[in-house]
Amino acid sequence: MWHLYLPIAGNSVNIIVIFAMGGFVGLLSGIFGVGGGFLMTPLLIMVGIPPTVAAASDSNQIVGASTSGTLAHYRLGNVDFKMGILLLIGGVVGGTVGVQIIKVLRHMGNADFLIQITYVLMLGFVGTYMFMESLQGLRKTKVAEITFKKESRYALIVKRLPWQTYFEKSGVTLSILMPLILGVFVGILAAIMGVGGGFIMVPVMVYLLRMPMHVVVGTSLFQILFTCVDVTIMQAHSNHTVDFVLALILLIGSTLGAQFGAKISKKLKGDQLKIILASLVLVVMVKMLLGLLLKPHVLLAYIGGH
Amino acid sequence: MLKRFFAGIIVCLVGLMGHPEFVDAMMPLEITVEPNQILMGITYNGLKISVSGDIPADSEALVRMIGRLESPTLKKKGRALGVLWMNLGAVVFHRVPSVFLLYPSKAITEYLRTERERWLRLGLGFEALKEEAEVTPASEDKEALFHEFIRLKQRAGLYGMPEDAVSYGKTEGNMKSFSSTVALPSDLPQGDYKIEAFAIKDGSIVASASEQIKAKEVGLPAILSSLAFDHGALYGILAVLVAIFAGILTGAIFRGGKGAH
Repeated sequence: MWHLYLPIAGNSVNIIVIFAMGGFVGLLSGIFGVGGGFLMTPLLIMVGIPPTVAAASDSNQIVGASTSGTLAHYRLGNVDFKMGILLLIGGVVGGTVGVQIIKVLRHMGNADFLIQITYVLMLGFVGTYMFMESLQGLRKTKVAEITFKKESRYALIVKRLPWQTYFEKSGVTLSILMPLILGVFVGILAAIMGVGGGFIMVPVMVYLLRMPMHVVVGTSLFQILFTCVDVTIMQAHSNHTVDFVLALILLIGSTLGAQFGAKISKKLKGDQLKIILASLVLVVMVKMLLGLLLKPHVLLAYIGGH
Repeated sequence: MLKRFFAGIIVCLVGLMGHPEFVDAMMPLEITVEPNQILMGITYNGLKISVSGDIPADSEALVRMIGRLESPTLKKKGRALGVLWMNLGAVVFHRVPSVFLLYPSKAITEYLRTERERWLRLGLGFEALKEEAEVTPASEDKEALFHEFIRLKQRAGLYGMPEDAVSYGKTEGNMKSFSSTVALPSDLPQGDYKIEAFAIKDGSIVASASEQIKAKEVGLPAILSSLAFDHGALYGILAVLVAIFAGILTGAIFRGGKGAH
């Protein structure tokens, strides 16, 4: 009796299950500032939503969840708009380049192979690095870490770049080229992998832009909001794959989840946040790796899945 | 006109005589399909369709539902570098029905195991589909791929053959009543379908009937579909606006709740 027929997905779903999935992913989104696309899309496919519809409707859902999350973080003073907008500009340029790269790869016939390998390697690298680093952070004193970072060659190069400005909310002085270039980099990867890029953007902000973890979460959500608005309209216009009813149920669940998430996020320490996110990323990586190593149940698949 | 009509009849007769299973004159069969249309409203979650009728008492019944023919392109999974399972190219299945559900009686379920040759000659099952279908590129292993294709469709509930799926009622004279339930999956595509019933005796079809049934969206799903497919950009913008509004609303509710405490 809790079933609802979704015309764009072309299948019926249990409202309670969808609502719970939205709540769970929204909670994670609020805590870590990731869109959660890398978790939600596989969950939706599991309940019988076609892969293309799952990804597009998830973008629509993230629009709502990240609006709610950005607002909550903005009130807590956690959104660096200046940094966010610069990353966004870079992200749009990178996304456009990434889509072209994918077209060329598809033409060459080995796009899927590269996408999946990129996925596993990125998740593995990001997850492991964050995990190790935050584990050290939890053990060592903070002062020692900062001294170490300031002496690195990376920091010296960053300091020599032109157009240095002070980012008040993040409390860092950087060249505006940094967020622009890194935005392009994340945009390219996100377009190739077909995800919002939150789980790459967060480590980039933490490690390469040296922003404090709490500001990273709020700023990441702010940036994801714009990316997903763009993706939703594009997908609805050219592929007709946005299931609005599905998105709305997910959204009610996830906005509630995101609100709780933002509060939990504030209570946890930066290193604790990082280590939990790192574990999550590693779990998804292992799942994908197993998917590549184990023989699938059926040796055929519909177009559009990962 | 009349000339063409007779020519048509002659062609049919010749065709039937040429086919070993149709040597006996086929009896017409009356079937009742209930409900006789598939309305996919907001509460649609699959549907059970009852098919009933009368067949000669000494024959066995088989009910079949077939969707329109299509030529889907699917990704083929294989091993890359010897260890990694992933999509390796695409294959096209030509002339395969979107839906193919078979409901044989208990005796026919047995029959298709013990008398495989005669079952194949009837041409009603998955094997007949495979004969009709074509797989490109032609270099692919059609046998293995078609087997996987049926499994993929079975997982979605769009292909299937449950065993012992016909029940018989009382026998009157030389006729007996039969009924079967066609279980439609929730992901049934919209379109026209054909429901058929066959009476089978000694490896031949002695009577058959067929009814058309249409699956279409009604109510809210129909409105949303037409908006999404005919006015994609507007639909996308609306979807975004509602999402933003819902996000702001939840945010406001939460702040209100916090203030009250």
